[in-house]
Amino acid sequence: MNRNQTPKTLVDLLRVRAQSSPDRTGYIYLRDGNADEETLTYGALDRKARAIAAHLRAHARPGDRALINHLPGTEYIASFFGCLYAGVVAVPVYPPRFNQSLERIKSIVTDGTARVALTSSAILESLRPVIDSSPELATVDWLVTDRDFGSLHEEWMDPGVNGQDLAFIQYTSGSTSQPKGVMLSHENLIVNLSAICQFFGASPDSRGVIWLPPYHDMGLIGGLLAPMLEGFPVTLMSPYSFLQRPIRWLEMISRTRATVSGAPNFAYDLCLNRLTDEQVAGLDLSSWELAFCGAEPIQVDVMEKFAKRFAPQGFKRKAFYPCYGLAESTLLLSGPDHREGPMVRRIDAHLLQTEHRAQVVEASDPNGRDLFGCGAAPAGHEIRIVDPENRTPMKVGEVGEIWFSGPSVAKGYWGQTLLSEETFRAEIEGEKGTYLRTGDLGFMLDGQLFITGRIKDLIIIRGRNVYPQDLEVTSGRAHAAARAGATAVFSILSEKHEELLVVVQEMERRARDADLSEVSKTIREAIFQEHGLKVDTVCLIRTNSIPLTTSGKIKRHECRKKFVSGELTELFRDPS
Amino acid sequence: MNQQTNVDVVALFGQVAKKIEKRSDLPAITRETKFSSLGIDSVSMMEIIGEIEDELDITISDERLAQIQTVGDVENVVLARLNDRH
Repeated sequence: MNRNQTPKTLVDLLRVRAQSSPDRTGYIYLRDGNADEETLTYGALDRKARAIAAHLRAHARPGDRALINHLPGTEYIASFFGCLYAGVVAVPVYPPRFNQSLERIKSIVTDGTARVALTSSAILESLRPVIDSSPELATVDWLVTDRDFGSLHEEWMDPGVNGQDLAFIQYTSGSTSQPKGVMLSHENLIVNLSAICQFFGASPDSRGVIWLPPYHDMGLIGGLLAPMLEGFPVTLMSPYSFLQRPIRWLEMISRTRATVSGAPNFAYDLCLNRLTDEQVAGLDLSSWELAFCGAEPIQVDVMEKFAKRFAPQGFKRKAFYPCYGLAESTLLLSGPDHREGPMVRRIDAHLLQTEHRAQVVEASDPNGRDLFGCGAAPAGHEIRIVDPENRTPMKVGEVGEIWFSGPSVAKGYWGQTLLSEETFRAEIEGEKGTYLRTGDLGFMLDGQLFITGRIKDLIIIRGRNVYPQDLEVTSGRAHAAARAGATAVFSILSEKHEELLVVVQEMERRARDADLSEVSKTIREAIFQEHGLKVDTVCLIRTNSIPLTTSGKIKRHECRKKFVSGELTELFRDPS
Repeated sequence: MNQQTNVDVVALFGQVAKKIEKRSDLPAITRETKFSSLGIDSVSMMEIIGEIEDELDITISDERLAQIQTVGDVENVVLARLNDRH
């Protein structure tokens, strides 16, 4: 999109698209991963969004929050824009899967004080019993969008939103017990979308393929909204479809001659491990100009193996695009120049750990650890590396917390003034200006940002943020013999640098005779049930032996250290 | 419960799970087995279902998938799909 014509809001954006090219296909959604295609032109999307907005306005006022509870697909997109067209703040949530508990949705409804939800007739039918029995959910008006709205779209009135108005709230940060809704304005989004398109070298001739869940910043902002800014079509599948058959992702790129597609590290790894030579033989990946990778630590060896394996299919190593971002910075925080290909530096792993500084070593150095450069900040933004304790700037090559400023920084967390001040408006000692604290650690080298780890206790599994607090609550109440409030959940790295979940659970004293393997099994089941996650190790320990701070909070880091060194008073460890 | 097809979905599930998980120590699987008790995660779960779809040449909709919880649920959905074809 020409710079002079950049719209001020997402409402303007879709209106312009619908008026200038109503018949252009914006989205192609593949139902259930096969060839059953649903297409959505900008004109049809605009019309459906107007109808939903008109319907919504009978139940909500501008500025109210509305949950979006849809499976990935065209209804999801239309509902999202329907909210914006009504001036209502969209709050996307994961539809419940595998009968997982609705705790997360309930906590978001309560925190975001949502009074309306947009959903499908199928989801509503399956949720009905739960809604009726839940005080939090019963107060919400559940509106179904997969219905015939007749000529309702004609009744739509432009709510006249401006750049400073909130567009949506991303609940991808924060635990269930303390949900953190990142507030994004239209300006945040337009600025960040422009940065993404510029960094990716996107144009109206680009073609996208996305299976990332639209409930996350990466799938929603990167996958659905960025293509609209440039006006290029994107082919969508649900994450289920990809996970069932990872080959579908690459097949879709091959078939649609896609130029841009990407995913977290685990997805590239899954392709390497799962696809057979017969499956990949017929692929043509030569159109793939930009293969972005983010949302979780990127393993250089996985990317190199991927590039090598798929070179015969035309995959270009240069297409790899390691980037970094988070919900609090809208999405993209840093990325390299797409024309240059990824930059790898081999860093002394020992010095990195002990002295927190990056020393480049020879490629042959066995002590070295390869890291990708994640580029630099978009124009108009700034990245600083800061000592998180003293709040003083670090030098080039020194590891510190990544701080960020600029118009992509979100407005704050919904309803949390104090936490928002601390996180979004931090100050560097002796300087003016405010910064977003990312909680991630990294260093600058040769003009690029390198990510090394995290300050916060966040665990990332397959690109998904997992809060130890949530799993600790689940474990603590999984079994009568487990002591609630005395659990530590953290991750350890596998040899392949994947994060593995460890649960350290204190036992109740009176439950001395409990069957420990039974307790362990129950904890595993509960964590799968509520969070869909596999626990690597369960470690049951003696009453009152979990490391605590003086104020009685669990010391996860120390617990992790003692777990690794075997210093916990273990009663049982599974696997031993 | 089903006369038209004689596919043993439970046994098939077990075979596929072993293959995907590259494990031989999976517990015995029955209709009542919950995925949570198998020590696999939701990503592997999707792969197992994908493999079963391939094996039987059927497609299970995302809506149906979202409601599956036990091996018996998989069997119900799979048999319903197979019957649709007859």
